[in-house]
Amino acid sequence: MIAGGPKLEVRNLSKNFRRSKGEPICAIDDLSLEVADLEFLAIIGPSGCGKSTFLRIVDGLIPPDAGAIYVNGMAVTGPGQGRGMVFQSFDLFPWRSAIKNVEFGLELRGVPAPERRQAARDYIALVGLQGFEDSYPHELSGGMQQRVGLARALAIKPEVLLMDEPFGSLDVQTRDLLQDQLLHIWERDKKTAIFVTHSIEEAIYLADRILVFSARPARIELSVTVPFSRPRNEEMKTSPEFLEIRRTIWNVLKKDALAEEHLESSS
Amino acid sequence: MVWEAIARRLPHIVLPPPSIVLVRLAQDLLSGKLVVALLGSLEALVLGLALTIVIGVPLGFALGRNRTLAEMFDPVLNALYAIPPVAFVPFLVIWFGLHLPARIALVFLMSVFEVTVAVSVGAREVNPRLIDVGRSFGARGFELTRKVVFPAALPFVFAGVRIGLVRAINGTITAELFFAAINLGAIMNEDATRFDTAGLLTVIVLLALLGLAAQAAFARLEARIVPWHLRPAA
Repeated sequence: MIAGGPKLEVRNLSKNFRRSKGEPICAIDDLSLEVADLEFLAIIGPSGCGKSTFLRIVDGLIPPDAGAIYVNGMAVTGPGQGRGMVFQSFDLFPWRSAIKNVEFGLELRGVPAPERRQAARDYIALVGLQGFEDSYPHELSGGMQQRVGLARALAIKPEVLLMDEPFGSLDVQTRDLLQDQLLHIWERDKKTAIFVTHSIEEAIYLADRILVFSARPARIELSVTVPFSRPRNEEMKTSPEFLEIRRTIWNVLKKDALAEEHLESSS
Repeated sequence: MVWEAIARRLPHIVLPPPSIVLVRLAQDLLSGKLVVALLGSLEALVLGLALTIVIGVPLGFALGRNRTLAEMFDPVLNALYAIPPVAFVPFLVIWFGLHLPARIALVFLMSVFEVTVAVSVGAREVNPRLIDVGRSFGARGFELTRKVVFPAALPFVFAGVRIGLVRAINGTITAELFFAAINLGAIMNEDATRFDTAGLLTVIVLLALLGLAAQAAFARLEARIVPWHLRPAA
């Protein structure tokens, strides 16, 4: 690892999607960014702006057309090297109990059974699900399922934790609770993190820095450093500073949203 | 009850009432006649179905997950599927003779298509998001199949084998009637020539019971192995 270098570096990333008819869609065009060690980065943008695509490329699930991803200064291609993903719809394996889901990545890494069982137990405890080790996903609430999803990603001790709108399919109350729990877990098991969301409040509340992506092709429209100290608390959400950041980000997003609206009504 | 009520108004040879059939069933089971025949029939059934599972399940997975293979073999499979397996009987006689190997072959032919098609549909319909999760955590190739695709498609494997099981029972009896008559098929044949309709119905009832019992046993096995499928996650 290069001392003082970024934990994760994305250089000149481009991605087009071919379509059966018409011009290919340019999802990402020459995007570069850096994430510092133990930084919590949030990415926000209008829906369909390519932020999920971006995260999937960083995870190695889809190859970029151009550009490269570096973790600790080393180029990574394909999944499974130092990145752990938390998925939007939880996507637990329904045939595995909670603890077996958490063990999944360790199994693939050849960790011996007693060792990975203990590690999985520890991560289940970290996300506050003691007693639910042997429950199947269909027996757990959405919020609990996503905590298992988080434990599954953390269990492989990733260099970079990737979260793709992890709370997007939860109701507002559960979402607020999980934000606090995520921060709590993150304080205890600090990781470099990239968190994709479409909620401005969520981004400000969780992150050290926020990147606002433009509508397709994804470019960085705005980079905001969040000034709040940690641990964060609910009161920050109503502070003038919080509202000011919220307004700044909304003004940028609104422009794209309006353009999109205009495009749709005219077509 | 309806059967009993109707049967009582008719000569017994046209439709023997269930009371007589059940007594006969008990008699023939106790005398061992039906038990021996049943066990003989089960031999071809079990071996044929085993062959179907061993060939049909992997073939189904291959067709479901590999588009090139699917494009090559789906039309062939569908064409063969459309032919009544009994049409192959003359060939089976030439290839396998009249005894156990031929019966196994017919049981196999009658059940293998159902299993292959059901498994291939299951393998094709595996939630792509779960495959992404598998890949994200570093699973590739055979490991991805073993740890993600196979368990995800397992409910379809069960559905396929359950249909295959019913078809295999069908195939067993068909084989015992069409090739050298033996076991339950032989009893049915004899009863039919003697117009012993009660005896004939006894075998039919036994087969129905066998089908029910096999399916019930299978359902229990399924509930044990794929419990998540009964209440899928929302």
